[in-house]
Amino acid sequence: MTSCPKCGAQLAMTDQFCGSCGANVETELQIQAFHQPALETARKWILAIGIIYVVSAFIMVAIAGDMMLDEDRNLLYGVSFALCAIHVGLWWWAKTAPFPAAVVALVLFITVQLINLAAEPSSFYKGIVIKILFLVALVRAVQAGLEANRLRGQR
Amino acid sequence: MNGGFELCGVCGHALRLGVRFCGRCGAEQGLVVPRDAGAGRELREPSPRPRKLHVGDRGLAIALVAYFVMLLPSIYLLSQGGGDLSDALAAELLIGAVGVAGMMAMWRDTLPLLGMPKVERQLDVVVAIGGVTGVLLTIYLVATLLPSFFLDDTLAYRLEDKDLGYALFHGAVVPGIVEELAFRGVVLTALCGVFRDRTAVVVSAMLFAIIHLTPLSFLHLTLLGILLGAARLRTGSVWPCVLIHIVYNAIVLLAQW
Repeated sequence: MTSCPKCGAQLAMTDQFCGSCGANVETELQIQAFHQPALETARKWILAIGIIYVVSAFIMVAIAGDMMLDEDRNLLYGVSFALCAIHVGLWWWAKTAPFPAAVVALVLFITVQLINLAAEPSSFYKGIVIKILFLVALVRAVQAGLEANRLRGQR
Repeated sequence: MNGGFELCGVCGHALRLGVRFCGRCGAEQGLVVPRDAGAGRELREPSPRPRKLHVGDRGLAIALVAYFVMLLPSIYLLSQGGGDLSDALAAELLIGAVGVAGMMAMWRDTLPLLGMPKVERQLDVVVAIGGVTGVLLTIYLVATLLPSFFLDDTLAYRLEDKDLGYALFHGAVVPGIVEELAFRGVVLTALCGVFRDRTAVVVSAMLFAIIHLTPLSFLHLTLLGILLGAARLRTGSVWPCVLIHIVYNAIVLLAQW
């Protein structure tokens, strides 16, 4: 007996399709080997970025907190915690649906970067390495998700 | 039947009892009458097969391009320090232009959306009204818990001395029509080409929430987006979404006026 790479149901050795979810076993093994890793990496990055938003807000307040108005500081904390909460939500969702979660995270990330660029152009290069790594991880996840859909012949 | 086995209705392969799909040919069982079907054997309801859309894989690219074109004027206004009411109207009209252009580009998938809505179950109407009430309660909750982050939507109108009728037209009717054409018409349709329907509704709702550029209202805007997306899929038309959106915006404006 083996188990289905997609849903984990028990299969006979000769089964080419899973009796429980109908997945093509060979296709799923291929996806697991070549496409799943990119999606799982992106999931870890989504959580990491969520934490980075909060940590960087604390660092900014620690460095420049004296010069900030109370209002601005509260807004910074509010936005950072909200972004963190959104990313934790996406991370949790990515366990069952990594591809759509990666698409949303990618769009959210580019949007936040564009806002930053418009509001404070000098901050664009802060943490540029992490930004690029995150972008690459998400783009690869989206490509992997598209390719996996194509292999499964479904959307 | 055959001592703990059934036979696949398509290829005749021996199956363990209770499996839904044939291990050899992958056919879903219970959809076709097996060769040796006994009397009184119950056929299962078929799993819903997704409708094939013409957009297909290109949908993701179309949705992303539409999203970022709609985002750019908001970003520009932000860099200029907000802008006034006429700037906001221009941004809304650009969203409308994206909606019309996108719907024309995918006309085979979007043309039916302009038809009359089909309400198959009366319950859906109740769910829609309950959903709008729920979203309004969520805003109320956020506004009560975090009053300092809550923006007064009516401020811009009062600063420019506009009356309620103008505010309702500018803040409810126009956004209701253009945002629904763009999001439920273009983005959701395009995403349906890549994702399953339910996933596409959630993704388009999140994009709808993100483009408002207020992280603190992400939750209730996502809920609203899911409600509108569900309305569009249930009725096969964008008009119920336009109606819900206008009513929702109008209530939010009236509550603060």
